[in-house]
Amino acid sequence: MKVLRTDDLRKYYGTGENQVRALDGIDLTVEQGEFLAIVGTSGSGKSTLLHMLGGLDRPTSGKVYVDDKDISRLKDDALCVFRRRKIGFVFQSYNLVPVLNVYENIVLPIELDGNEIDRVYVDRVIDVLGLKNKLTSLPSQLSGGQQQRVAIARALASKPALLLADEPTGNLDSRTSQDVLGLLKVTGEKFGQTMVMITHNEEIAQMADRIIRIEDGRILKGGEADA
Amino acid sequence: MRRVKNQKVLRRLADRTRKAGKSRNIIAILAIALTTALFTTVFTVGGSIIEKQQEAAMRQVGGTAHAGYKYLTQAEYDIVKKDEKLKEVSYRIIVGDAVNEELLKLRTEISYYEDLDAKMSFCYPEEGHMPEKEDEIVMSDLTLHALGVPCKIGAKVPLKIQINGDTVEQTFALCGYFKGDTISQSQVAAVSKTYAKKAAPMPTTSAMDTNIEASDYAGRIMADFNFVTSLNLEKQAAELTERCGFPEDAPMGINWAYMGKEIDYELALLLISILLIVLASGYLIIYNIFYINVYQDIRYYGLLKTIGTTGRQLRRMVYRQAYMMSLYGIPSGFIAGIAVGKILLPVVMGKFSFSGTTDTKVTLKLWVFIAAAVFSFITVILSCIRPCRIAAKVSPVEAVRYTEGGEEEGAGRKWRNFENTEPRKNTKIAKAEKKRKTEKKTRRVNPREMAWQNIRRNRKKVVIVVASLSLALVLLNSICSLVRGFDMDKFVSRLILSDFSISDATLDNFSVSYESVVTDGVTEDFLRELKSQEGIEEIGNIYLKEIDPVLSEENYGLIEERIFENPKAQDTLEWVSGGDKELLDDLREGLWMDGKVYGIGELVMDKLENPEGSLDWEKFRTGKYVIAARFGLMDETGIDFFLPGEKVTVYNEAGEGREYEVLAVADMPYACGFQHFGMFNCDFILPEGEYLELMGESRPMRTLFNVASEQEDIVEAWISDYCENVEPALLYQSKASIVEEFDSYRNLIAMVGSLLAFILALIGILNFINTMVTSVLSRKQEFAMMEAVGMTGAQLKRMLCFEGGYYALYTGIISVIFSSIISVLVVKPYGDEMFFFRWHFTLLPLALCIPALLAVVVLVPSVCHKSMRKTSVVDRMRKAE
Repeated sequence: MKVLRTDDLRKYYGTGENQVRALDGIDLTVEQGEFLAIVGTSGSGKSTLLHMLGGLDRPTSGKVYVDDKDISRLKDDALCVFRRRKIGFVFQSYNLVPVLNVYENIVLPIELDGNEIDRVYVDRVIDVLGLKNKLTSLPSQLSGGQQQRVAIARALASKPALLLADEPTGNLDSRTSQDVLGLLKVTGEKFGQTMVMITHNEEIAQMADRIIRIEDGRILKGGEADA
Repeated sequence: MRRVKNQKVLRRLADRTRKAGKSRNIIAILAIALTTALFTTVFTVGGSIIEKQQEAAMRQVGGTAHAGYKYLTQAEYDIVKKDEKLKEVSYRIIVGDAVNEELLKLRTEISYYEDLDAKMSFCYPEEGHMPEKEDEIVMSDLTLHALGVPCKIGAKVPLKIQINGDTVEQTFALCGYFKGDTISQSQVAAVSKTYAKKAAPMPTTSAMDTNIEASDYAGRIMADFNFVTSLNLEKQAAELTERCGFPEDAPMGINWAYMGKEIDYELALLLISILLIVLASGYLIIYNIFYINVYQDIRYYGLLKTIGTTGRQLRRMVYRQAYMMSLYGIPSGFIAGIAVGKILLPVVMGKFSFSGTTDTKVTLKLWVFIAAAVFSFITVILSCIRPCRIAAKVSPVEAVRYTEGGEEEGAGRKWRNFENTEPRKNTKIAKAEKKRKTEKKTRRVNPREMAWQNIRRNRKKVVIVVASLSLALVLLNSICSLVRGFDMDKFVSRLILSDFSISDATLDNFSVSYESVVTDGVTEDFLRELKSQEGIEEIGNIYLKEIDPVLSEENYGLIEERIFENPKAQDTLEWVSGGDKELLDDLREGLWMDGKVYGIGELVMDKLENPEGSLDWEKFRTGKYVIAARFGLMDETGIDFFLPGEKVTVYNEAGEGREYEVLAVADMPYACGFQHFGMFNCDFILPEGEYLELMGESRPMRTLFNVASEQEDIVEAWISDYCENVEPALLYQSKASIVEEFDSYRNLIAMVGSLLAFILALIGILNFINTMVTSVLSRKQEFAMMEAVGMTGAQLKRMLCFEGGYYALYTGIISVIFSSIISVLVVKPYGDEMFFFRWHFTLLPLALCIPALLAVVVLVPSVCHKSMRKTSVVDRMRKAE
């Protein structure tokens, strides 16, 4: 089953001479449970692509389907609701809410949606990520690696269809990076989570099931899911 | 749509966000508190004034009840009593009028009152109790005084009472008394129900259908009642009549104190404009604070949006923060407002006390707080609309994009991140940037230039802060120019022409209806006493009779020619007739022609205004001459009815006339004359002696007298005691008291105005401080970077001071422009309404305030800079959290 599919996705900035083609016709599919890495140099358009996939930004043309739903046609608030139900984000700079403690951060998307928290599931996620002893700490009291683990837990808590990670280890030293990535992969497998990660680090990308390379807004290789 | 149960989490987010920023909350709460304080003050003071006006009207009417049925039978009253929509019903039974000779001037109605009705009619005894035994009575101290009975419980009160045309005599025992009111239309006395039943048995015939006759009043019930609200009393009363099944024209009285006609429109307009100014000022600061806060938190809101918070939820979060701050700010504002009100009220109420018996004590009313809270809350909500929209519209990409760029201020972002956001900028901005860049090349980079650029990059904040500061300055300047225009000489000469003047208390009191004004109030006793005082230099009496002129054919012709056919008179004629053609024709026919005949002494003749012909007392006193007044309503129209040398006939009340030659034409000064006018006044002035001969013995309407200056204090003490204790119906004015009144009036406006301006200025400065401090804080890294590349601390400080200086500069320019406009377009017309106003154009108050403003705008950035310099450059360059 295809969790994610894009259809000739384009994003242009500016007009005329100044026009920049950040994305120039991306066709991409991701299967249920797959771990995909997108690599590219700085300015290749990979971040823009991730924003499009997560419904953070709107394409100039083309379509994005998540769970067979065309999200490029949703209105702002509907997109927000879609995001908190279907997409989990992990950012380079963690982006935790500084005024909420670890547990509150993790369950925030569920609570925003007004849903009952699946305690058993959330506890398992917390367990796997080793955050059990930190639940009442504030983000500022945690190390970078711990903060990123909280961010991963938050992304998983609402059982999203798709987890998007944007340079998740960009701010971490190499040892912690290995730890975090290991956890990301393990939890992904454990919970059957579909994941898309962008990175410029080839070594990190090797942990993924599949790697696509993007340059000047186009996919160089690996656009179609294998088999 | 599915109702999502996420209030709790939103509340938690909002509350935690709010608690995270303590110092900025203090500023927001302070702003809300100041706004509330202003509203509370305005409502307390304004409300008290209106309330006192209403109370004065009620005292004149003689009751607080909303309305009442007249002349009911018991059966009819029972119907009214049972009506469920009435809040309170009570009644009195008419007995009759007291007709003792001593009470000739003091109409006194005698009735039995229920306790509640006595309270509603201001006759519940302050000392003693309501009548219970047959011969007990409650009266006012005024009536007792007139009767010569001491205010002592148990005193004997002999009364002659007219009951349905018959006069009965009865001696009562005083069982209680209350403070009477000189301005009410009639005095009342309360007797027991037993006496009422005996003296005036209750008729059983209804008075609804027939026109009631004066001989049928006694024993009937006057029902007074209150509805739940005093709104639209006429409609409520009509509905009640229908419910009771009474005929539509059942005799009923509605208390006109509630009809709103008594509320001065000018005052209401003034209050509304003050409310609007306060609202504007509150809006400017609260809006700016929330605007800045939201922009500071923009990344945070972006982040929340990324993880799925909708725009509506963000909006709710911001609103909730505002609500919570109102929760602290509004009550603190009440406290400050009450304190300010407490200082202001005695001053204000001193001015607006309507006559001796109104107390100036003011109770704190619940509605004042509710109104102030509502207005403050509305201000807060209005102020939040835009900041909330900004928070709701935040793009989720912002959160991701600007994580590394450091804490950037929203308004400046476009400009500073110009290089790295190149692809996103639109051409318009690009052009502006290009222009700015080329401009820059030709200029030197110095602190002043950088300050200018910084000011330009958040223009909106500059506009708001400048508006906020200017509001206070413009108000202050306008108040000052108004107060400076008050001309004491004009004020005094209009109100008094001699050291002292005395008349009946009703004469110059405009809250007394025309019919109740006493125009022959100066008693012989007083005049005798006056003459025996030491140091009295001159005495001048003014007598008055209102007698419509009877004109000879010839004289009438003169008026026709001089007035009705005079183009100069048309405006006034149009004005008095209200453009009513028929009325004008009636006037022309000689109907509606009013006239007054004055008798004056020498002292007064010297004061006559705009004389035409010689004012020779020796000639005038012979009794062969008359001074004719002019056509017009105390304005500049001033057209002569008759010219010196012409003959006119003046009649007395009995219709006997005497012919006089017009000696001169002159105007009666406002301070001496009778201040009620008919539509068309043809007045004559006779010398005192001739007046008394023609009209017969009369009492003066007003007596003026001058006193040797060393005796002034003694005479003032005597007359004040005399008017209070010997003849309370008399009211005196002294030049000294008028000067005092002028000063108190001027001080009132100056004090209220400057206090208001002061609080507004406080708000403006707070707004400036908040803007400056937040802008310095948010640029911490930028400044550190500039320092790192070689900008010295002194240069930085200079730059910040220049930024402050630009605020002051703009404020100065705006204030000067608006103060000038308002001085000409508002202060002048408003002031010209007051007869003692002479308009001056002034910007002096501004000139005096601007240095103070400069000090503030330079000091605040310096302090900010100093506190910032405490941390090292390296520390500041790190990401500020």
